[in-house]
This record gives sequence, C-alpha cells and structure tokens, in this order.
Amino acid sequence: MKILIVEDEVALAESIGQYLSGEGYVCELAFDYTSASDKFNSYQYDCAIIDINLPDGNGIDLIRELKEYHTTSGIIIISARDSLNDRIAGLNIGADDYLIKPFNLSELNARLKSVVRRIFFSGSNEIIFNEIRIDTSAIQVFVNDKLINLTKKEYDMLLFFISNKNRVLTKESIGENVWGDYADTLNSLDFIYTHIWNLRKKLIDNGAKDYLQNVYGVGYKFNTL
Amino acid sequence: MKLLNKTSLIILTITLFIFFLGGITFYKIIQTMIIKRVDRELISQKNDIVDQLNAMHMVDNAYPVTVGKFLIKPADSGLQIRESFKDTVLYDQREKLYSPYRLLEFTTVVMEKNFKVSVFRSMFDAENLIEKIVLTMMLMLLAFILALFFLNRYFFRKIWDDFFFTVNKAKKYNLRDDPNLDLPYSEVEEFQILNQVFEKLTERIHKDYNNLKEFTENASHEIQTPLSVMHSKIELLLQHGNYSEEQISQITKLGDAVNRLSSINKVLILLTRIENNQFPELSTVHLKERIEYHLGNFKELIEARNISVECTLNSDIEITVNTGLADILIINLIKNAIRHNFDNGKLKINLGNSTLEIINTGPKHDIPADQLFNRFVRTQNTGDSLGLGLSLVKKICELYDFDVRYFNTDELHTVTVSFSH
Repeated sequence: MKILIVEDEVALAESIGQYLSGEGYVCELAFDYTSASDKFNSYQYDCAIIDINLPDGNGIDLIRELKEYHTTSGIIIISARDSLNDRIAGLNIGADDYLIKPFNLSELNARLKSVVRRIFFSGSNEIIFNEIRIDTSAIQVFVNDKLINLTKKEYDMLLFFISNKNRVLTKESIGENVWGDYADTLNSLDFIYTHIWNLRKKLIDNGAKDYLQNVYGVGYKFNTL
Repeated sequence: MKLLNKTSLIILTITLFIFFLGGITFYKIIQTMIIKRVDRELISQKNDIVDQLNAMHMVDNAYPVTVGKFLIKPADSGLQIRESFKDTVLYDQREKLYSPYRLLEFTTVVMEKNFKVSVFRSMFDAENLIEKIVLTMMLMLLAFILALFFLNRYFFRKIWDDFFFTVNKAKKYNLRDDPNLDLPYSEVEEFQILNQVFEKLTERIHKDYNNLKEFTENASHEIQTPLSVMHSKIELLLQHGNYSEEQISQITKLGDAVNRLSSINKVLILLTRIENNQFPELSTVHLKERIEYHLGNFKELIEARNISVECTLNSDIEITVNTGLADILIINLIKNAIRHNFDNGKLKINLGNSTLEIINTGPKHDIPADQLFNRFVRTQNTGDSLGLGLSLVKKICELYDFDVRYFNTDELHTVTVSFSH
C-alpha cells in the first residue's frame, strides 16, 4: 500500500514515514503543495496524509484536486487547528478522517488502518489475527469462534493493539485512544494497567495466546510472538 | 466638587461681595446727594433770613426768638460763624418722637448787634426716601442674582448633556463591544472635539486588541508543530527496546514533559479561541442529559480511585450555548473534582433550577478563592496546575454571563455555576 505524506514540517513528515514504513506501507514524502501536486500527477497512491496548512497553498484545495483527478482513495487530514469549520470543510470535501496535532503515531496508524479497512476491504468488517476475530460492525470479538465478553473500553483497546502490532504503545497513547479527552482526569495513567490486565486475562481464559506484554517503564505491546 | 457647584460658589461669593460693597456705596452716595441738596436749601434760607433781618431792622427785646424753624439768639461780638452745618435730633411735639434734622448756624450783625441764627430742616422724609430707594435697588439686585443663579443651573444640564452622554458611553465601554460608539454631533465645539478624540482612541484600542488576539492565536498554533515533532520522535525512540532502565526513564520523563506542554498549549488555544468568539453557534443544551452522559464516560476513572458519586439532578435546565463549550464546561468541572480528590473520596453533583453545584472532597490548599480561576496557579500537593481546567470554566462562564464561584471549608470544595438569566 502506497502512501503520500504531505507535511511541511520535515522532521514530522519523516517521523510519520518511519512509523508507517515499519507497518509495511510504502511511504513517500512531500513538503509543500506544489511538490505534492506533482507527485500525485506522476504516481499512484492508495492513501494520503495531508497537512492542510501548507506554505504555498491550502490542503483543502489539494484534496479537491485529488478527488477530481486522481484515484487516491483514503485521505487523512492532519492539522494544528482544531476548528469545527475546518473539520466540516475537510470531511465534506472528501477526507476520511481528521487528526489534530500533536497526535500519537500509533493513533494515526490505527486511524489509517480503519480507513483502509473501510475503503479497500469494504466487504469485510473483520480483522482476523490468528485465533482472534474482531467484527467491527457488530463490535464483537471471537476467540476460536467463541464470542467473548469484553467491555467497550476493552474492545477499543484490543482494536488499538491489533492495529499497532509489535509496537510499543505508551500508556498515554492508549489513554488518548480509548478515553480521549477524559484521559488526563487522573494524575497517573496506572488505572490503564488494570484494564489491560483484565483484557489479557479474558483473552487467555478463552484460549488465546498471551500476546499482551508489559514493556517496563514505557507501556505495553501486542507481541505477535 | 461638581463644576456647577464650583462656578456657583465663585459667582455667589463675588456677587455677595459686590452686593455688600455696592449696597454701602450706593447708600452713601444717595445720602450725600440728598444732604447736599438740603444744605443748599438751608443756605438759600439763610440768605433770605439775612436779607429779611437787614430789611426789617428787626430788633426786639425778647430774645431768643424762634420764628418758624429758625432760632435767633444774641451772640458775643467776638463770635463769628460764617456757615456751620450739623446733624441734630429734635423732639417733635406733634409726632411725639425724635426726628432727625439738619442744622445751619451762622452769625449776622443786625443794627450793630451780633446774633447767632440756627436754621433747621427736617430730614425725616429724606432719610425715609434714602432707605426706601436703597432697599428697592438691593432687592432688584438680589432678584437679578437669584434669577441668574437658577437659570444657570437649569441651562447647565442642557448644555452639558452632550458631555455626560459621552462620559456614560465611556463608562460602559468594553473591549469586546462594537467599536462603533455612535456619538452624536455636538454643537458645542469642545464636546465635539472630545467625541472625535474618544472615537479615535477606541478605534485604536480595538485594533491593537485584535492584533494581539490574532498574534496570540497564531503563536499558540505555531507551537503545535514543534510539539508534534518532539512527540513523534519520542514515540519512535520508545519503539527500540535496547535502552538501559535509566535511559528509558529519561525518555519517558521527556515524553511526559512534552505531553504536559501539549495540554497547556491546547488549553491556551481554546481560551484564546473562546476569547476570539470562535464558537458562535448556539443551540439548546439540556444540562441534565449532558451531565449524565459525561458522568458515564468518567465511570472507570471514578472507579479507579474508588470515589463515591452522589448525583441530584432535580431540574431540566436548558441553556442556549455552544454545545462544544457546554461539554467542555461540564467535563472540566467533573474532571477537576476527580483530579483533586482523595482516593475513596466523595463527589456530589447538584443540579437546581438555575444552578449547578459540584462538591468534592480534596486536600486543603491555601489558594484564595478569587485566584483559583487564574491560570497556572499551583498547589503544593499535586504539583500541577489546579487552575488550567478551571480557567476554561471561568472563560466559558464569562462568555455567557454565568456566575461561577468557588469556596471551600477545610477539605470540602464547592464550585457553583449560576445560569440565571
């Protein structure tokens, strides 16, 4: 899967590229409107991650261009501005998601996977990993085809982990993904440990292997062994 | 003191002085004039008497003789008075009172004998006249002064109307308001100048303020990008497992600091955006429903600290606000009550007819109530800013004219928001 990352802050573009390459995507970078436009004209991309505040143009216009002339399907907007109007404009123009900086790369990755699933595997609403099957439309999880009882938060966490296999996920990124604005309510994110531990127990009790691993001092990882 | 009173006082003092001085002078002048006239008549009478005496060669043995209002007495031959004027008082038999008289004494020789003649003239009427004239004049003057005084006070209001209108506008002036003051044209040149100057001033203030707001907003947004870079690099660093415990600790602490910076910046951006009126869309928000919704989302977090929640949502208040801001308000109120609470503590939410009360147990702190809503106020215990979330609460309440108060008794903290409209 080929992805074009359009972001004028070079260091950030490189970070995104590095992380997504690790996920198996083929990533290319563009640092302004003109070069992004050129690249879209010359090559094929499956997805694009676009910063709407580009030095020489508006990302919204770029998206419009994309939608009109090219077959790039998945578009995720990244922006420093959290304005409702920008969000609405972007989604109306055809973007699939809108992320506000600063964001977790793992979060971007999860959103990208979700967009890809929706667009490229539109028939299937399933994520299958070994004995674990997740039905994203029914919001159900099966281990060895047996339905297991997860809370909504546990479901969200599992989805996040499976979207970021073998990635070290900080407590903060898990908190952000699952609890959003509420995540910083407590002084420490240690409460996450309990939830992850419960999830792990439920998976193992129902016959799954032990994938969830604690990474000392940092966070957790879904280890594919 | 007030301008009107000041000028009135000055005028009053001056006029009283003039009044006093003028009165005396006027009296004296008239008196002198009348006395001069009486004296002229006395002299005329003297001449008549002398002529008559000389013509009549009147010598009689019975002296003194009082003929009419003059008295003739023999005098020493050495005595010689040409004309001597005096004021004297005589007893009037008929009127039975003392009356003022003007007296002229002179000596004259009749048939080689020396006589002293005294001529009298009544001043009663003259004095009366003087008094009446002076009194009338003074009363007229007084009436004139009083009329001037009250007319001045009456017209003062009208003339200074324009001024006070401008002053009232100045009092009510608020940076957030429309910069167009709409000051009416004044016929008084000085007030017109005042109006023009004032309008220019507010225009400039408004411009500067808008520039500052824009700058603040842009600066905050610019900060987002380098923060993103930091955040992403740290996340990538953490992907590699080959660090020592010490290094991991350092990297995660670095990450924590970046995250804190991000939160602070996010709140600052939100505050400036609220300030810049970037949430204009309003809708009807049902508080009860929103509170219940958000409380649900806080469920695990509340349970994680074993906080007991008591919720009394008695009324179905609806407020017309921006939905996003309403959510931010509620979330921050609850978040704050959880954050600064004890493990196993209590949280109470009371929704009344026009108030929302959030009560929570929590460590004592010695921040005065009015400072609590200032940004970045820190307590000793938690080491993080108590004020950031509450500053959002305050900003939103300011925007919609809600009243928000905080008070605490020892370890029980209460925040009350009043929606009365």
